[in-house]
Amino acid sequence: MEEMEDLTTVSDGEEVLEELNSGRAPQRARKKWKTNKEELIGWGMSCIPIIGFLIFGVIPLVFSIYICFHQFRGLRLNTAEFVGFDNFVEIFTDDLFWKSVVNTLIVIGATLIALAVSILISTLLSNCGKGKKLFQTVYFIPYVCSMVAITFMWQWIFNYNFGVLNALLRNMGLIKENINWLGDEKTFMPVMYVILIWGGTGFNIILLSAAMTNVNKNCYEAADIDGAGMFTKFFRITLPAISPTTFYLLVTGLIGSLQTFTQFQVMASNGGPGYSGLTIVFYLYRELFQANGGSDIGVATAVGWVLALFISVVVAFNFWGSKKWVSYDE
Amino acid sequence: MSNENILMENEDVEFIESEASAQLVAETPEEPRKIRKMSANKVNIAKKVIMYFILILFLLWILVPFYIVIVTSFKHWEEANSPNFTWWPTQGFSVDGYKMIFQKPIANAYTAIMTGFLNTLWIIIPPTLLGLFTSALAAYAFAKLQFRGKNVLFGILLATMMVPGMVTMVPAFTIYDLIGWRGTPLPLMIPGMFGAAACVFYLRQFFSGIPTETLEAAKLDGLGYVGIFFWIMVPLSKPALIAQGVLGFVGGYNDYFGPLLYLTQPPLQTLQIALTTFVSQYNAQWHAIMAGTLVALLPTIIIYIVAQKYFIEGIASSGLK
Repeated sequence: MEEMEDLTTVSDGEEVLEELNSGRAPQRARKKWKTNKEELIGWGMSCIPIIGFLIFGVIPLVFSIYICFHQFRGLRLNTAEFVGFDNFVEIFTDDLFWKSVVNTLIVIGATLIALAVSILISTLLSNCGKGKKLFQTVYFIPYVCSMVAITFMWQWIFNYNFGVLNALLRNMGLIKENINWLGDEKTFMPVMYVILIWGGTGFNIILLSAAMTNVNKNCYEAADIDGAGMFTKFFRITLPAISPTTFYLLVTGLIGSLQTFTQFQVMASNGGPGYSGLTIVFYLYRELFQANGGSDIGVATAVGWVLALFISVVVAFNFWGSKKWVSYDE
Repeated sequence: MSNENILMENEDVEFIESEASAQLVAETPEEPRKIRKMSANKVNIAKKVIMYFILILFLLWILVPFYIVIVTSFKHWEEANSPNFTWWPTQGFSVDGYKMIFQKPIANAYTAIMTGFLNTLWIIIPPTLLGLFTSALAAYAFAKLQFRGKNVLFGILLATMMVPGMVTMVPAFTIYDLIGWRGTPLPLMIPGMFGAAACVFYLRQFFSGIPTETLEAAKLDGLGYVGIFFWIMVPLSKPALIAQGVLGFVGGYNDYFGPLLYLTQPPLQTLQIALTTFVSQYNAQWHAIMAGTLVALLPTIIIYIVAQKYFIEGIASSGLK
């Protein structure tokens, strides 16, 4: 802010110079110069993303309100028929939708575990001298990886007939018969947990490590003098100090897990055994590309709005919780 | 540790380092701590061992799946599809899997992995670069220029981040279908070219850190606002631009949902979709599937290793609000 003011003063000074040279009345000249250059350029530069947002964000947004109260035959917009809240009624009376909601809520558990693991690993990393950089580099790799490829990787590991895991368990004598990890309703979600946790720690660890290096070292020294143990230091100093970052990761993690789709769709494009792999976005996708080739855009858009409602609950929780739990003081 | 403990340890240490204990008797304030440190040495070593044990375990948890992919991709078909998994290609190395993914698809049933890769490049790079450019322009205006309505515009930009993508997705899909963009890469390219709000925020923060004095000096030298952007702002903020560029590229490269909506027909599929169609085409050829998986993974991992500094910087500062 200060810098901006500085800039104004300087340009004012320059204008005065210009004004003196041109011999015009100072006030008028300044106004003209401003609208002609800085204002025009400022507007021109800053409004490009906003124009993009108006075209590709606002138009579909307004249109979505229209769509979710109408019924269409396929993608033909001229078949619109006003149906009121029927699309929402259809969703809320569909057992499959509630199944997808439950599955999505289960996914949140994986996000929470990933966050807890990330805090543990980052704490260890912050105390680690040699090899810290190597560990950090490797831990981040899953974040840059394609989710599609990662899903195939795990699909192979959990493969029923030829997978590594079944072979390993058999060799160790833990199982006699191969486990059908991906074909059984009971084991499908645990497998997805493995994938989600494996891929969900890299981003967290980078942010948490950065937050932990910023914790005031004097606090730890003072705690050492007072004879505080490892756990006391962790719970009384580290955890409160990194709480803004943890909370940020919690909220972005929750929003992300509500929109989980790729891993589940790639793993089982039919929704998994007993639809145990059907998430909310997956449900939306199935409405948009139904098995018979049709599309119910009314219902799909309504699902989008219900999902947005869930997300706004998380955002509200963010505003409420950040006041309550996060300590922003040093 | 309590005082008693220190005294007990003190006896052990006494004949090793009598000087120190003599000083302890004299009750110098620093000495008890020194001795406590020595006694805690064993505990510290144990702690270190446990710490490295967990860190290495976690390292293996991340890396072993990749190893399984690599080793499977170099196996013969018989060995890859055998019930007994081997940690090394015992029947010799084979590149059959790689041959399969690089061969021409029969009757255009799917997009070849290589074609998919090239498709991804020409679909992703232009919007990434152009979007970065427009975002940087906006960020410069918001950070360093004075104009009426700036705060209002910035507020609108803030609001764009609140709009849930899942709500606009279906209507956007319908509109693109209506204007004939479905089945073309345009829905994946054009919106991104207008810049992204998150990128503007990040760059604005970075630009604000560039001292205004530098810009004043440039202005006195006769540079205009556009000139300042190109000759001062861009060169000074290369790390930030690279960070946003690589993050944008990796995000686009790995995008699955967008191409799944718009580009499911063979000749235009991106790498991610090409891989899934390849897998559904050859669902028992695990050596080939793993070869394809590895080929899909490698580009972003290589970019990450090369541009690691920028990645970490770009990510770390995104969370520090």
